[in-house]
Amino acid sequence: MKGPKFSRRLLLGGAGALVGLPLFESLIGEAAYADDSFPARLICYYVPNGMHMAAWTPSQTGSNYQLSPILQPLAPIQDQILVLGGLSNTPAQPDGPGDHAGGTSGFLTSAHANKSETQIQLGISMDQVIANQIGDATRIRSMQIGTDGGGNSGGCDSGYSCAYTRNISWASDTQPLSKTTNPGVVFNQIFEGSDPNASIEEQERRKLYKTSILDYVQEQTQALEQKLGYYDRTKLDEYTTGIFELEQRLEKAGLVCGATQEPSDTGDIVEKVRIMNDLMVLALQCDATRVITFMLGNAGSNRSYPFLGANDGHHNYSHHQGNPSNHAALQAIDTWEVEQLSYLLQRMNEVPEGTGTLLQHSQVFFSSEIEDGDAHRHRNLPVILAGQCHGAYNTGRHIDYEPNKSTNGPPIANLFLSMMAAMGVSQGSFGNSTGPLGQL
Amino acid sequence: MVRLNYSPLLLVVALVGCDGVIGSGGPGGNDPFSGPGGDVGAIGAQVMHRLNRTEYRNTVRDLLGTQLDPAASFPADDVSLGFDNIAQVLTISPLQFELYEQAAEDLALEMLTTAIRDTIVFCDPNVASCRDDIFRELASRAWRRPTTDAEIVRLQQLVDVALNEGEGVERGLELAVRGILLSPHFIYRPELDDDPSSTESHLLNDYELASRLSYFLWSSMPDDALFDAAANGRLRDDAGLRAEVDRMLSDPKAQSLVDNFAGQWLRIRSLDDHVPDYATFPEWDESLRTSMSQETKLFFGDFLRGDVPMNELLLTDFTYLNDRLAAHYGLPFDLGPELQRVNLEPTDPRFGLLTLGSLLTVTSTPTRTSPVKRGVWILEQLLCSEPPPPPPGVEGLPQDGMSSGTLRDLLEQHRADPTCASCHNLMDPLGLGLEHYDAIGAYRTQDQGFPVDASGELIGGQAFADGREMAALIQEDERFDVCVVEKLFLYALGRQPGSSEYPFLEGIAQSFAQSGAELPELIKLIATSEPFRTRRGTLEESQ
Repeated sequence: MKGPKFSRRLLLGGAGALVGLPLFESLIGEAAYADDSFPARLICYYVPNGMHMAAWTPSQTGSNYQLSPILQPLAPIQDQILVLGGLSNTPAQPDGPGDHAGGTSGFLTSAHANKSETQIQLGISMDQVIANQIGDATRIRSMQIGTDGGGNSGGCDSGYSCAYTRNISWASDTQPLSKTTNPGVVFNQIFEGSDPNASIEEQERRKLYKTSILDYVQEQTQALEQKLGYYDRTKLDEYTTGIFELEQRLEKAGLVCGATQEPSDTGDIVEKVRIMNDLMVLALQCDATRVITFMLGNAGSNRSYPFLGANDGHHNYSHHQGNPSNHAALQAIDTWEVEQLSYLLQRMNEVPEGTGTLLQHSQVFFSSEIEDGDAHRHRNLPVILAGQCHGAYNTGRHIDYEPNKSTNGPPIANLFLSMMAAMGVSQGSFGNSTGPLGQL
Repeated sequence: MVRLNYSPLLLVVALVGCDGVIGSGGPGGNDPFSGPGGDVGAIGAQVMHRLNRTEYRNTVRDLLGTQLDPAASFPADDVSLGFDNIAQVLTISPLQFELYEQAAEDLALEMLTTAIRDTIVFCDPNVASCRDDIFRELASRAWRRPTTDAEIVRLQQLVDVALNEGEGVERGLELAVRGILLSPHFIYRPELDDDPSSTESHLLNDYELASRLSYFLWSSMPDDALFDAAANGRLRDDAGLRAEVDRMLSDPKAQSLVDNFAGQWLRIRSLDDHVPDYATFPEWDESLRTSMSQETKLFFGDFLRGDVPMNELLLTDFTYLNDRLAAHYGLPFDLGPELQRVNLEPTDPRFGLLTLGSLLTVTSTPTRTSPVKRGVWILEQLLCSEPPPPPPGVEGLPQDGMSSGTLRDLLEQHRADPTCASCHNLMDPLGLGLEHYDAIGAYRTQDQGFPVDASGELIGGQAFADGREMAALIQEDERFDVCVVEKLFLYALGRQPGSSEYPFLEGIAQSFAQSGAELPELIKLIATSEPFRTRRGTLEESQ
């Protein structure tokens, strides 16, 4: 076991199985419950640099379509997914260059980023609209997870702050929600407060102590605010929100799932994605949260994938210039990304909930910041919507919303409206939406 | 005379084309953080600074002597303008706050159950007056300013919470320490305005200035001597400030300027993430990576100590090598595994910053050199003249075209297109001047079987035969002088200079050049400058 010696959170559970091994058996999900007693849940899954569309788009539409080469890994659960083509995200179009920043910041916001290194201005993301409505039901309102913390230095994209290229969840116009890339942190978030050795009395006392400390810093914050100018007060608001959310969490029931052993970060990307996928399943299954965003890489990631024979960087390949060897490398990377999604979906589908499964009660949105990596287009986005979310979607189809690929199809914000509705969140409009998306 | 542009109108024009003046990375011409009304000479607004991961890590180390590193699990700080200490984008998400809360608890528990306890709990904590002393001492260091009596009373109330629960004083201490470490006075570096609604600038108080200085030079909290200097008013005049800078630069903690300022400006940190293609470069390994990283840090250290003036950064007669690196560079030195300072001859193919292996590597792709990336880096980081990136759909080079000629040939074909030429005429010659160095910084005379031609011509018409001649031209470029000032100013204040502040930069650049251009002097010029010593409030309307 690694980590700080004095952290109580690490003294959980004893010799449980490592995350990734079968560890779900003892958890919730007994078949005794009716399906509708299980909540709707959401994962938004981001991959960088677009897709090699020639190998992504299935050639037929409707329900009897053949999976394309990149989508092959989804064969075991083809009946649980929708492949959506032709959707556009025009607000993500940057001012001049900066498509990765524009596309990533607009990924879930359908908002237009203010091009600046310091004046951050965007919009709330759809996962946060949902979390604002349903987040109070769970201990964690929403989780932000990723694999890459971000390059250690250098610019991010064409005069856009890295805030735009590393975050897809936005609590407000100005506040990105930073993600954790540390499996141990995700684990502790899910299991915090679940110390099986603590008596009720001890747990109550710990809560009192935490509350007292939060009250204390809240008082300090209020006093400090009186002596600060406008921008500094805005900064302090973020801190106050942190206090508020933690206070709320203390009021909620802690232990839902039995804890297992904390996973470690070996630095291996394949291992890390698998662990993060497992932890996301665990978080939803345990109802620690109902809203998760995941970034498999940051905007314009230039990670190389030697284990796929792709030794140059992903972003370099994505500017393929129509070159077949670049296409081959891209297809290998894209297929691997879809494999990771497929693993997640299959794990979710293995979790029984009532007469259904976790996947059937959830929706997983998978896409990228752009369409083709060379053309940097913000239309015909590569989208998979997986899970039926309690019957909201008629899965098992490929739908093309705009066969003319030089035309902007319906706003992806329309899909977001439909996805919100499937979560029970009624919203008149969102971003540049024109109404809920049809045919789903 | 350095060329400066602080007219907002000029800046807006400059953003558009590739005239090589100031690009998207340059100073904001119309940003609300410039002085009120954009008055030339007014200071920009400083947003309250949250400790970034590095600063938090160093601060708890210096405050407590902890063995823990809670910051390792914090989310990465967002980077703007090339640095991770830009206050405007250092946000706090609920997750970050939660991790602060956990860190405070872990640190408090460690402190009270290890030998650290003796350094903090220096009297009998069962006695209330002793606890007063403990809290006064710890909180004033943690918050980097004297505490008030009311603040100490309030911390005692946290002890009472534990006592009322029937727990001991130790638990009470724990709660108070957790409170101190979660306090906004610890997490942030607040600087107060007597009248927060006034945009008139005023001097920082002594302790606020001490913090600015210590986070600039050490990326950490002030030490006792700096607190003393603040308490005794010795930071109020130039002489006192300069004396403190000298003292602080001689402290090992000044290594922070290497790790964090140079680490980001010269992209040493990027080397950690860079993965050269192992098939193309089988000789690449961790030992080479580490050696290169150390070389650049040691190289910059000579400038930081003032041993070598900054106007020689691009043309030096020394570097730091060990056996591994000397062999990689093809230099005939007999050295051990430890890096040592070596003298270079004018005939050696290594001659300063631009031939450091780390920089050459991180400005390459995994498989080949990128003259464009290298050129952009020089423009952006040494000349502060970032060209706009290419329009969509035109980036990149076909990989399979490589056999038809050198990269130079390909880039020349590319520049035949006038839409590409306007910008690439700026970047490509700079990068092509370094074509004698491959994608992991080794010297070469051939590329793809063709002889390397590193000659070229800058946009102003100055011709060069190779990288060394090119480096001399860049070093003489008047933009280089002020660019160094701008980068360090940006880092020192954790914010973009407002357009109204360019006269300060100009003045600093002139004094710096006249003084002999040693980096410690530049640090003193910035530390004693008006923008560093003053601040002002901000209004909502100014947004």
